[in-house]
Amino acid sequence: MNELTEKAWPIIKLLLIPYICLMFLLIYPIEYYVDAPGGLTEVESLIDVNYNEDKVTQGTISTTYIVALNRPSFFQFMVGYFSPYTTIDALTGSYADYTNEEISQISYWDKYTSVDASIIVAFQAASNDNSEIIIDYVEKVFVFGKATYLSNYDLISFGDEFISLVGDTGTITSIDDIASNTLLEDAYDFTFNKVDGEEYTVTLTKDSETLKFGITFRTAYIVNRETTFPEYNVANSNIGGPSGGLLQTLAIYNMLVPEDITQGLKIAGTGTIQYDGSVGYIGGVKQKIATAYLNKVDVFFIPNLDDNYTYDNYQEALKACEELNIDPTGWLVPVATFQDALDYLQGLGD
Amino acid sequence: MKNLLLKWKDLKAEYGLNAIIDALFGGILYGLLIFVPVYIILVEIAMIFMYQLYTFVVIITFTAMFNVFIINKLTLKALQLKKPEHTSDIRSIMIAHAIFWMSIVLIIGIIFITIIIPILWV
Repeated sequence: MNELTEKAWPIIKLLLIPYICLMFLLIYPIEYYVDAPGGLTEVESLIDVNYNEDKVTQGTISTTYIVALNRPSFFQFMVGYFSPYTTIDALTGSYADYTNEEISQISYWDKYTSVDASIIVAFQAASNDNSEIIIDYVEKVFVFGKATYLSNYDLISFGDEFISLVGDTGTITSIDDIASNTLLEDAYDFTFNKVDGEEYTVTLTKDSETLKFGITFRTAYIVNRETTFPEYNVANSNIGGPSGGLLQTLAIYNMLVPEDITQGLKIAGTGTIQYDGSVGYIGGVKQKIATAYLNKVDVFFIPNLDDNYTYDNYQEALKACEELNIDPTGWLVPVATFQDALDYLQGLGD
Repeated sequence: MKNLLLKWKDLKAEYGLNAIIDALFGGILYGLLIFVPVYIILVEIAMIFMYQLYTFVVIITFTAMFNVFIINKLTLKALQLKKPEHTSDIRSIMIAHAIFWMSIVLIIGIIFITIIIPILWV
């Protein structure tokens, strides 16, 4: 080794500083995010319902994922800047306070709850024509946001289930009663369940400036698998986020009904699913349109939202098509509900 | 194979195991110093152009094969510098060594493309 070092020493001396600079550009993270096109994932590879095993499905139903890089390196920032399909912006809002690991936890939690929402909506829709199908679920409250001033910040994780709080008038279990039962003291005991089921109690102190605990909860419905029929399996997913909800619902529904709703087509799309079957807003429209276009899908469902939303994904998608020189005719389909998507596919078969 | 084994015995007798390990260590160290930025660049570009993931896995596989070749080339150079008047056939040993490890890298690349990526990308 010494011989090599001696021989290469003039070159090493010359390249040492440029090498360190290059490594800095490649490694140092900056407070931006880069959204880039990703790919399609067939829902079948994520969720498998043990029903209609002999049914042959001609087409495919896929969710669309994008690559969301939080705090990219300088180099990634520069590469992204020159790609026509990427969106680059500064990290803002609560995401700017979260570590990349915490953002991943939120993203995977979103995925977990979106899968259960898809199962609930699909099973309910399929049970209308088939009394054999039973869906049962429970309401749970989860930790979904943590402010920087939250006391015992590291003890509480995203996705922990809220169980109870010892408030001014006794033990309360509903998050609606938290504000009215935490007026007299500065600190209260909260009990949570970790994801692995372990229960723990932690004392949370109100922030002196905001007079808040700094914790955000979200209610979600979780499927009771013991009393639900048919059984199903969900594979571990490496792709987070709730935007696959609509397509997951369509695919699960297709596994439950005797007919093939795919009509032999390569179907993809995006949009969250709400428990009433309505489709919700998603981000990264430009990248998802690019992904769909690059993967040559036959049908791409996009949320067409009501006036309550500031942004309309369909309008965004049309703008993205124009920007990327893509003709949206015939494959970009706006939908407001799961039923809209189903009606569209059934209309293709008539 | 038998011939190669004899050449390896000659090399070991001429240099000693410590000198061979030292040369190999130098080859690996400098080979990685050259290629680590290349790997990071390729992975970072692949993350932006994820829709070309398979193309990038192929490129990274070939880069790793080239990396193995360079490591062997540097090891050969180190051994030659240690004993300029050497008599053993180092070049043949290093070519065989490089081909073996390049094949391993190629197999790993194929496993990634055919098995690991389809499993992980759910």
